[in-house]
Amino acid sequence: MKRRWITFLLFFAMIPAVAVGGALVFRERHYAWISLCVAVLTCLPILYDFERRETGSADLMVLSVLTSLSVAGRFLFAWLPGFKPVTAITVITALWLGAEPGFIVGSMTALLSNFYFGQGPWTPFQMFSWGLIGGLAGLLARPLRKHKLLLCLYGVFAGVFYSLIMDLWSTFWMGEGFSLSRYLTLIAAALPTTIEYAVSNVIFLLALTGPVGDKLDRIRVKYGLFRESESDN
Amino acid sequence: MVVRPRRHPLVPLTILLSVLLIAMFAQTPALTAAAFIGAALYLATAGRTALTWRGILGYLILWLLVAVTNPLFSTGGATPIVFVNGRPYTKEALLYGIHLGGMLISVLLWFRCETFLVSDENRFFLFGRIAPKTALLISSVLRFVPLLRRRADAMRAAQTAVGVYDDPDWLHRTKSTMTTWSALTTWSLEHAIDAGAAMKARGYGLPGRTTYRTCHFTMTDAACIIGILALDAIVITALVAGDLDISYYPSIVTSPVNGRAIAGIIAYAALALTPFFEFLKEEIRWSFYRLKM
Repeated sequence: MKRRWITFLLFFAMIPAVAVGGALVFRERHYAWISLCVAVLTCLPILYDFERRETGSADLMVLSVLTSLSVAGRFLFAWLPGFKPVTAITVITALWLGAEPGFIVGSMTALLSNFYFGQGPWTPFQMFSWGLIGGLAGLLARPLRKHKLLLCLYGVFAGVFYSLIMDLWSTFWMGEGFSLSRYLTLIAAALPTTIEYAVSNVIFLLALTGPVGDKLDRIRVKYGLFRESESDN
Repeated sequence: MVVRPRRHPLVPLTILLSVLLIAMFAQTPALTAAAFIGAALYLATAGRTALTWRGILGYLILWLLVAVTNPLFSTGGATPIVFVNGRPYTKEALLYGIHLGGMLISVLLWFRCETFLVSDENRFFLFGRIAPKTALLISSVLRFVPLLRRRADAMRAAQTAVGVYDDPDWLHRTKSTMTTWSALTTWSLEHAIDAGAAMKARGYGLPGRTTYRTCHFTMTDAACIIGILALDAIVITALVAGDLDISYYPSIVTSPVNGRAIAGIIAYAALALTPFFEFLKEEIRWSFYRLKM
């Protein structure tokens, strides 16, 4: 346990070190560099923890099926553009299986769906934002499971958060440094999509939380999966 | 089947990361141009099967979009071309936009090159060693996604035959897709438990069991990697010293050309063009072998 904390502290000391070091080499583009560092280095400790922990083979397969379901959802609902169950699946995983599985499913969905939809420098940012949406939902599991209204609000928040992060990415990568007017223009241009994300998140969460949550709860209890998260319940 | 001399996958990965990281963040037109040419030549030869006219057009449009819109947001230049809403649309900002767009396109093209530089099994070899669980997760998801789509199609076909899916009504269609989805979840989660049991029965998690094929790291590979890192060092030295700096605003000022800058550009061009020349070398060697047959 103690060693794990030291590793974590070292890691969080590394983020500013790498960011500042890179900013010295890549002077003009340091915004882009620092943002990429933060995105990548936030995902790493959680993946590292996942790697180190003992995970049963069934747990691992359940995680990969949930990730596949949310990747396949992007195809299944392809006839409704912008309508994707990714956030819903990530949040539901987090609510029933814990914060870490939520983070893993969210970030891995971003990585893997880009195998089909195209990898690019945006991948770490999508991993970061979907992972955080999952991780945060896991931390707030208790209130979110109890109140439907809070869950809906979280769906709206997730849609807006995702959009803001991706617009920030575009601002850093398509221009020099940070320009507020460019950021605001991008946010305005993306407004319809943002609203669509928020609305579809709420619809998916309302429709899927009950049935999928029950199924996850059932296999978790029946097969004794994800024992570490049991203490939260 | 073409059997190529096997180099350890770390070698192409090191080249890829070096080129990509410098292309992403260094702000020098010469380096951007080298990255672009290297990627374009490699994709046009080794990756020509994946190249479509629509894709090329998409890249060009993105480039144009970044270039043309940049002056609308930054008005720092000293030479206005026209005034838009009272704000100057400057030559410097336009040139900077062209550079930025080129940088973005080069990075995207190098991401495309990755597919051809590091094959799937090698990616798992590299990844499986550092992060075995994540690698396993990725490879199983890549297998599950087509499976789930096939299952969803089967269910959809059955539902259409029964007459519940074909409703043109938007709400109804969403509802029935949700039903398919829910059924798919049950089906797949059960399958996951079975797959987990099967993995356990085959010794998953026992010591000494690897999830990837093995490659051997030879002295040649080590020499290659040292060479790549040396080239990186030359470029980074020039970048840190500021020899490759260019500032666009208020007017374009480049650092005076010196030896370090030229060395940096040559080193970077060598890195960016290596995949192309490697491919060319192999092609020539093979057509030569075929001639002798």
